[in-house]
Amino acid sequence: MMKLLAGIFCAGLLLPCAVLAQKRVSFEKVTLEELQMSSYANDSSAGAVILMDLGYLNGNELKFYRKMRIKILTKAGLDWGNRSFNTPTKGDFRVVTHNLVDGKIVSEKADSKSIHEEEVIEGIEIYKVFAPNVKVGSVVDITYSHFGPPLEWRFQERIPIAYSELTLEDTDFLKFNKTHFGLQPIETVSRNQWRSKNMPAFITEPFISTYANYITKFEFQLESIGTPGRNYYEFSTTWRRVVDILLDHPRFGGVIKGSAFLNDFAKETKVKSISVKEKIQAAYTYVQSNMKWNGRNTILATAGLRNNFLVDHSGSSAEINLVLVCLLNKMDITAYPVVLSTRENGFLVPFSPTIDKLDYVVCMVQHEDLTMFVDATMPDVGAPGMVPVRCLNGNGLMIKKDNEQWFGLNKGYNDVKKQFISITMEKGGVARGKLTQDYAGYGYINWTEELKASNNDADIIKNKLQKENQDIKIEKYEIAKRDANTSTGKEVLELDMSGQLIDAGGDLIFTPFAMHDYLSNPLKSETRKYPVDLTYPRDLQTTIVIQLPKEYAVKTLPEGTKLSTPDGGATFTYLASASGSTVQFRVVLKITKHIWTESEYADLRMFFGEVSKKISAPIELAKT
Amino acid sequence: MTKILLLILLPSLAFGQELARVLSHQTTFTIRSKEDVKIEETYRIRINSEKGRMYGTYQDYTDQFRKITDVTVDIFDASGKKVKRLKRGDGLEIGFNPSYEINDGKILIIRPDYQNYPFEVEVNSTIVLNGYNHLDPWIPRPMFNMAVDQSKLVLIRPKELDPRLREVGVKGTTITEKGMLKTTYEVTALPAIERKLRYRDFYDEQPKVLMSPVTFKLDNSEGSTSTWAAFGDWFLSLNSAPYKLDPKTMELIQSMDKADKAMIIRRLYEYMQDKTRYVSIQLGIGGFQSLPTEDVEKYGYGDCKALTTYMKNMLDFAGIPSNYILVRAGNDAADVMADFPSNQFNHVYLGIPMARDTMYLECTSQISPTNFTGTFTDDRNVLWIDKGKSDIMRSRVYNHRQNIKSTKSEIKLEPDGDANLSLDVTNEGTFFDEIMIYKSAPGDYVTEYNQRKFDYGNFTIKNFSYKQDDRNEATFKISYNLDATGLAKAAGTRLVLPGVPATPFKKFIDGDDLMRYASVRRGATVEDEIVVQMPQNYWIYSLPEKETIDSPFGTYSLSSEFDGDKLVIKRKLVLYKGDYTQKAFDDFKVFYQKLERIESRKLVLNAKT
Repeated sequence: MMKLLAGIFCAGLLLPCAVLAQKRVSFEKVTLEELQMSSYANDSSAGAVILMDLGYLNGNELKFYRKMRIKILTKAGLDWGNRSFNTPTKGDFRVVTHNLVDGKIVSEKADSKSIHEEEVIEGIEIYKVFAPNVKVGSVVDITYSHFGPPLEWRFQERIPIAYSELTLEDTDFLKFNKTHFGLQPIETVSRNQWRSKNMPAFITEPFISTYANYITKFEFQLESIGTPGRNYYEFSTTWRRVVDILLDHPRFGGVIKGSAFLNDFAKETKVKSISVKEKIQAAYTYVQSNMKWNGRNTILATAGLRNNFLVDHSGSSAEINLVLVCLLNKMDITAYPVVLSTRENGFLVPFSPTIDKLDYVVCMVQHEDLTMFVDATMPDVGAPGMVPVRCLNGNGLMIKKDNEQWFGLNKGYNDVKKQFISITMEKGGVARGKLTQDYAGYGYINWTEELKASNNDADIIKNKLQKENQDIKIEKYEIAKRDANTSTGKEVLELDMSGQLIDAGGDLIFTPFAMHDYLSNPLKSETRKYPVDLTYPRDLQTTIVIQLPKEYAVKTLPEGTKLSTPDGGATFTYLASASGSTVQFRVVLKITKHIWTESEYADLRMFFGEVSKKISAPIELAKT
Repeated sequence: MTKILLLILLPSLAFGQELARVLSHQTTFTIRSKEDVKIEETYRIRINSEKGRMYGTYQDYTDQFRKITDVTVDIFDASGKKVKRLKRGDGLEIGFNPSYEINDGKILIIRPDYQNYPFEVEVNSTIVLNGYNHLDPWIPRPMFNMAVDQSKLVLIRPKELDPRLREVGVKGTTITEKGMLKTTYEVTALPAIERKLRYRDFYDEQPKVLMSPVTFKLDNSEGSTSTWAAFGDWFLSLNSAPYKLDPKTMELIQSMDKADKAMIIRRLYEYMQDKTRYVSIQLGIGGFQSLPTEDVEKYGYGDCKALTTYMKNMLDFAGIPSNYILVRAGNDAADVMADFPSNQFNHVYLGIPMARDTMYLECTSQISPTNFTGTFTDDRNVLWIDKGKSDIMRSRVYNHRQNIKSTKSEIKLEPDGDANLSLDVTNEGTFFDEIMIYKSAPGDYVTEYNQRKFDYGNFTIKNFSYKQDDRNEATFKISYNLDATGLAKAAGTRLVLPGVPATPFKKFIDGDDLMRYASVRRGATVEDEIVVQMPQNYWIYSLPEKETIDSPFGTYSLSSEFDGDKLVIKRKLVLYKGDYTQKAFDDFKVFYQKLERIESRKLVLNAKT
């Protein structure tokens, strides 16, 4: 959308009379204090700090001005003298470095050799500036301007920002709205002005879908250009409007209404005396075999859809799933497209309607009492129901005329894994195990991805698993079952577990668990700033049966236990029992919610810590 | 004929999973002059299934001296019918550099959006070079899982421009045609190879032809690689401009004590480190020529050539001669072929001959101590540049006597198996390189980096700090304090403790059992002294005997003794530098497994009843 704006500006289509800017944001001369500063009081580890970042959109000129002042504090911060900027239209840059030389301020302006335009990918250019003579202690001033509002305004960066202020004057001509991301407080000075002080540096953490969700910033979306009645373009002021725009679009709604190339199959299958579910399966298989995903996530189909389906057999996610919607409807099965933003694209914010942030379409069946998602972009998944992991990002919007309905994208699929280990212990300190691992749901999808990364080669997989589990020796590995139609898989391993068996002066000590996903705690940091996103619920069961060696009996067994986070979102049951010459373990770990807030982090971390300790607990055997 | 029959009769004799098959491939190099080379390439490749999709993507690069003048990518379906033609406009041109770089290199990628397997892709491309001092090697089978039915290289050139050739696993036949030499190489029936060996080992085995111009011309600069000496002289010709230093710099140099050479070098190195930073603007021949010293002082930045030249000029002004050293830099870079004079370099640093040895300066680092070069340029063939006498020499080696990681740790063990650990680690030699991460990486990277060092099931780093006592000494210390629950496992009235609660020996060896290689790129000495404060009323039945191993691969010793109520575990591991494949890998594996057996032992603590 911003590119469209740029295009319109460049074509000179809109400018109202360009009045000279009357207001300028004040950007005082650099001071001696700023140059003498040797560290930033609020963060002693900062290599550089942005002393001030001022943004100003002139409502009449429709021109945006930015002034940034960066202080370099240590050698690690020298790179902040090199900056890249992505402007929506041509940018006009000025860079000055100030240094303290013999107590006096010496300022040098960057010449044209230090300001470069680089084409990153065709049509997309960034500006790279290299401030001259940047040393520890330097203060770098960067000012630039461009037409149109900025794409985003970051109140937070990878280094601290002492003062940030954004002013967006009203413009009659351009209406846009903004979405606020991040958790740090921002002060609303007035309807048009916001600022923040002493913003801490942004720090990424593991288990988040994308850091872009949490960095404190505004993202801007165009709502409309022009004035109603004269050259007026409206984009997306409400979600209903988004629905209408998409339904009217030839490469979205048009696909659902048209796609005559699907008629033959639809006609043929519609009359078959099979159940609705079987018809959905047939449609799913048909689309899957005629169009493979080409790796592109889009919201619209391309103009070449018919050829992509019939000849090239390759299409984007929108093409595949819109075709599915169309086909199902042709078969008299009610289905709608559901649009969303993928995980790496960031959260959709429900109260900020925008088409810009949508980058994916899935199909949703809503037929009589059957509700399910259908996404045909995954070659290893032969049965409909699951959406790809990349789509598990909050809610999706159903595109149905005169409706605004949101749906959670995971209709009850978990990461399911079942382990069964049968262990025999023999004389001479030998313990052998046969491990079977069964996968289903998202567990199956993850498993197929890992197999793919290892070329689906048993030797390569075995080698990789061995590297990851060095306490045991993997002697054999086999993929026993791989069923795309039920989305389930099974692998069988033969293990030498003697490394987990210790002779303790006559008694034996043995650790029975192997290759358990929570042998170590995945949450390693003590504190947490942002919510933890585990992506999907988890269901992990392990059953172990040990055949004791002759002349030995159980001396001690770890106690059975039940652990749970306060709200029960994660539970763990551990049961150990002995009878005759066998010992059995039955362990179930369930995580029913995948988003945990920062305040729940400590409990979740402690939960995993206790699970890890319990699973590593050995048993003792004594000679009879 | 026989070969083709074999292929038909024994299709299941799969030497490896074949994801793609090159049906035919011809590359013709026509060297018309030093500033005019045409590279015509045509190949047809069959993509068997979705797994081979990436082999159908066309990718090549351009820069100021190299242009793709023509390229078409045709797609044929399984019946042989042409279904699509893609041209340059259907592809993506990408020029993406890190924030500190600008160059005029771009990559053109044309990816067929066609997935009706199997299908064939035919590429026809013409590339024109208007200046070259190196030519890409010809490797008919460059990737795993790719079979090659037939591939040909044709090299046409006038005698005077005959490049230096290195043929590996293939022999060429040469004729004279229209006054030009024409050499043809051909390979046929190469099976697909599985990704079950290290890429480097795979690459070494591949039939290939390396070509390098003996004389060349880039922009208006004529050069030669007939010998290393000639190439060195060319490099010097581009980097010997008269220089002008800033008055302040000259004043500083004049004020120094001429007699103390080492001190001058150190002070000037630090002076440069404090006023410059690394920025690489490489446009055109800028790839080989430095930004002038005046500009380095004016802008306060430069790339490796500019900064090295700046340092060289300052030393010259101080009356100290120094030499450029060209290198193929990087922690794990392939070595330069000493017997194949050609441009194999990507970096330059400085050597200063002293009375008894040589000092080396890495001019792109603002934090390196003087005379420390670390893993960036160590132990490899480098070109020492000296007018008329440039030659290959071996760069500084940091061996196991210098690369020392020594840790003193104290472990307070609780009766439930939980523990608190305090570690003090001293890093010397190439272990010092790690400080670059601590000094320049962002906080979250450092946090994760530290967490990855520990394999305990559940631990919390309570405290971390590092310290370099002397800017000029390549040694630094790290301190950690961590809590680890379940460090020892409780079983009945016993506690099972790892026999070596320290960084496992495995972390110092790079290797893969399936790919059958083990590599100790740099010799290392790892020493640990671990004092375990046992919980009250716990004792150990019997301590294991002292273990010592002395082998051609390294030495190892491990002892566990009591010192009052403390258990003292001492480990010393010395690994000699080495790269082991095939039979040597089997021998190394025996050594490795011995250490593995020793380090996987546990100590059993019993509660006194």
